[in-house]
Amino acid sequence: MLDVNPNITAQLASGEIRAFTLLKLTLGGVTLGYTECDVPIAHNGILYQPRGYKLGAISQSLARIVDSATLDIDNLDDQLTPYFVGGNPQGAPAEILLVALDADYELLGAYPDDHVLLFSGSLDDWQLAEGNLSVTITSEMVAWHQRTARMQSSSCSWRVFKGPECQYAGEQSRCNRSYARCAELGNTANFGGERWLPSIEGSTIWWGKTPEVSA
Amino acid sequence: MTAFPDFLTSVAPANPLAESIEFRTLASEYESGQVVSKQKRLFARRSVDLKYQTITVAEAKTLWQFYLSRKGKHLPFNLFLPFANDYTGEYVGTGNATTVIYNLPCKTSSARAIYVANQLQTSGTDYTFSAATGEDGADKITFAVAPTLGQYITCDFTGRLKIRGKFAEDQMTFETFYNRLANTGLKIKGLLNA
Repeated sequence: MLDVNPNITAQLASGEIRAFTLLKLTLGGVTLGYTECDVPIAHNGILYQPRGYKLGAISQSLARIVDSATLDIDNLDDQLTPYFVGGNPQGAPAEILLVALDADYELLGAYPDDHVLLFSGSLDDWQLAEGNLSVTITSEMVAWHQRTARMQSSSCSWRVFKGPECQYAGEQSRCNRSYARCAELGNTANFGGERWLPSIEGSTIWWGKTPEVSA
Repeated sequence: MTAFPDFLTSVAPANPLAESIEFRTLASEYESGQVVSKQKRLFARRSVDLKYQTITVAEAKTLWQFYLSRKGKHLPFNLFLPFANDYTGEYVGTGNATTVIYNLPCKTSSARAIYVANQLQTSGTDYTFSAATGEDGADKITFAVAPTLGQYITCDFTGRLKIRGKFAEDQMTFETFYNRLANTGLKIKGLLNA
């Protein structure tokens, strides 16, 4: 469970809320901080400047979706335009934080307990219109959401016998995709399978060094 | 920045000006009857309806030229209210650990109290005051040490409040403009004083 500063929790529960979000973007090596508050808010050494933006849906699920958050940022001054049109913002780190201010407009709590991390990820797709920039921030775990390019098998996976990958040019006209047959044809240099796969099936696989064996 | 033409001596503005203050609060009433509110703005914005008791066509044309120079509601300007009043907790600026000079949101001020992060500052020690030397003739202070990053600077004073604002309307004829000044009021939308 998320560990939230009890003072922040107490204010959110009080019914008299003075909470604001902070948006931190790192684009082209430059850190940009924005808040929807009417005056700047300093947090962890960064002065978050007032800027209109609307935090859209934050999507998270146990199902197979990519966790993401959407943002519509006012951009009539075109301050962000060069970073997006002229730059390469995809993959840039982005964070959305929630902070709460007390009655004296001081941050509740001390860093790192003065905020709640609402979302952290990297910039994905974006649309730039006159006066408005829409961006999607996706979880960094999106890097793991990849399709497998090729399924490995112990038998030869080349689609066409005598094709460009197989390269067999002899007289034989039959192949059963096994390594034994490939050896009979003298073409093992072009065998398209992982013949050792069956031997490691059921083996214990570990990451890093060989695990210690307990006595 | 440009200052709104100060109130001409021959035409007295309506006193008091119709002044509206906006805090912007997001409120939600739950099914239980509990009302939860969220403060969306730390410092209120003031908007005014500017109306003169009498105004000649020539004087209205002076203001009309100013309206044209501001390109309607495109460019902001500073308006100093014509009458002195008491104000508390007005926003001056946010410290950035570098800037030491700040314009006060007023002119001809007296009974000033300057706060940095809610701590009362001492005149002559923590800051020096300079009358009418700031932007557009605003009063100005110079800190001995720059307020640190994110510290809010506020002030209490008696004086003519500055409202940084823009014209609320973008499309008007001179006749409409004149009618607003003389009868219904010319709306000026307030921005954050800075």
